[in-house]
Amino acid sequence: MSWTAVRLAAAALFAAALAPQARAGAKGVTWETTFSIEMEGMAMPAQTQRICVAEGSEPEPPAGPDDDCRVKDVKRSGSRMTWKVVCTGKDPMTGEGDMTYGADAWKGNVTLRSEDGPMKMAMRGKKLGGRCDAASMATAAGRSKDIDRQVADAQRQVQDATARAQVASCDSAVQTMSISQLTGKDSSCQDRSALGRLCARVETRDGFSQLASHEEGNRRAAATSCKRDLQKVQRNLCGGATADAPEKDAVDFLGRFCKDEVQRLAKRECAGRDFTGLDREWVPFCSKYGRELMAAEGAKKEGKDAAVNAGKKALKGLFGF
Amino acid sequence: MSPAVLGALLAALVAAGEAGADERAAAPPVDRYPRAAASYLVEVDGRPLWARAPDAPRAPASLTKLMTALVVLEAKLDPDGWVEVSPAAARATGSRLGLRSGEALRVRDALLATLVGSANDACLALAERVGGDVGGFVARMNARAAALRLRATRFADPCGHDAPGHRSSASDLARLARAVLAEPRLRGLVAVERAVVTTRAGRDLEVRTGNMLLGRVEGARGLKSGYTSKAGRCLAALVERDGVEVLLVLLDAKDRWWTAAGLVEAAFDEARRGR
Repeated sequence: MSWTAVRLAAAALFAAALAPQARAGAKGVTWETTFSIEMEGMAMPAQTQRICVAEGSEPEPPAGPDDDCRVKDVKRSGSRMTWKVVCTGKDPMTGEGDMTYGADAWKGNVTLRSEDGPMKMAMRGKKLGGRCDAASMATAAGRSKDIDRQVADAQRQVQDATARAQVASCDSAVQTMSISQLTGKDSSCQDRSALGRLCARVETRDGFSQLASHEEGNRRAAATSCKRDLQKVQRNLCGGATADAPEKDAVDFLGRFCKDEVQRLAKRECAGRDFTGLDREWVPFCSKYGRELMAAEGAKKEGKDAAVNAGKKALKGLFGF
Repeated sequence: MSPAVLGALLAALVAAGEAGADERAAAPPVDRYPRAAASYLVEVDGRPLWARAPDAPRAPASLTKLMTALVVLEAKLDPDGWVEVSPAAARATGSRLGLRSGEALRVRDALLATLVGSANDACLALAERVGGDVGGFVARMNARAAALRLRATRFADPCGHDAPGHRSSASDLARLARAVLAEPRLRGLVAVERAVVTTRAGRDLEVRTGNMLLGRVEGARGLKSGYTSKAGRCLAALVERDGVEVLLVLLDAKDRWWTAAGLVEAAFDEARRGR
């Protein structure tokens, strides 16, 4: 979104709001105006200001916020006014506005469209009453500075939010090992280092496990982009998990990816042992292996495939069932 | 026939019909693990999942003490009151706390020793205290069993020694276990791994659980193990993970702890698949 466009839009709103303003030095009535802008799904905080409005004045067509902008097709119908805006130059945009007004309040909307997308603005004003001196209120120049400051604040907020969203998007892709989120044409992550971080995670148990849960295409893309042989990585990780067992995450990894190592560990730590004689930290691992035995037993009962029976046969005796 | 008798009969018939309807509505649990135990039942969140001969009467060994504890609790004794140890209680065989005749133990400690350590001396002392004698206590146990509709259960011994006619079933013991777990004090006691109790004379006695799942299997919440030559190795165990409860009862399980650990893992797998 062009920030010049935002500024112009805000100025346009003020212009509309201030249309019936009192001339400097003239007496008027205090009004409170509020406007808010929503763009790209984000709403900027509403801005409120008090202005001095010439008594008995009628809303006038809003002046163009900038030399490049032109207000046209101003129409009034009863208490409703509509208009169109066309801006050329550096930030071309078109839009339209409408406003309804009464003696004590008015409200309106402006929609502007630029190459960055639509921007919607809402505005409202209410009469607070009380006499005011236009000269004592904010001057046009002062208001312009206010607008600049408010737009700059909003710009900073959106830039911060965008940066945070960028970081979150990159982190999420790295955490979930979603390489398509980093390299795809619709990728919202611009951090060049993210791919390196994702590739480093391929060689961790968590990263490898996450990657394994993706579809084949994503896994292949990761292997290619990261220049990794996933089978070799898996073998290395199984070796590491064997060394780290019975840590929980190591056991979980072994159970998912390292059948041979599981068999070896089960024979070493569980086979032929009395349950009560197990090292307590090995109980979760051995319990899971006991479950496999139970499953093989159950499959045999149900007459399922021979492979499972073969597995059961291989396990038989490990636990004395 | 008087209207009252007729009414009672009709009520009984209606109740029997409702019970039958309940049983018909639920799919019978399958015997997925025929070598797990002579009789077993696995429930997930109160729903029978797998079973083998769940209604067959068998000697329940010290799982009996679940009923002992329930009857003692419901007798509403002062937990801080003293339980005298009779010569008979001091002579109790099997698992023992090591109480001597003439000693006394607080009611709450005797209950703990009975449930956690399966101490037959403490169990017998409590039975005598609550029932007046063994026979009186056993009568209370059977009355409570009838109230719980434990149809295959009949108690002949207060602490679970093999005795003629002393029997229960996996289904009944699961129901009994749930009744015990519904009592917060008992639910807390069955989860204790180790404690020290002190007699009135100031003698400290250590109590250790016989439930080898406690402290070993993630989420194990305890209950009771038991063994007699007739009953074999028995276990009632509750394991809770992520809000899911697995209750299993094994009667005469050759390798009780391995079987229990494997069944627990398999039951949680099944629960996850069913979600």
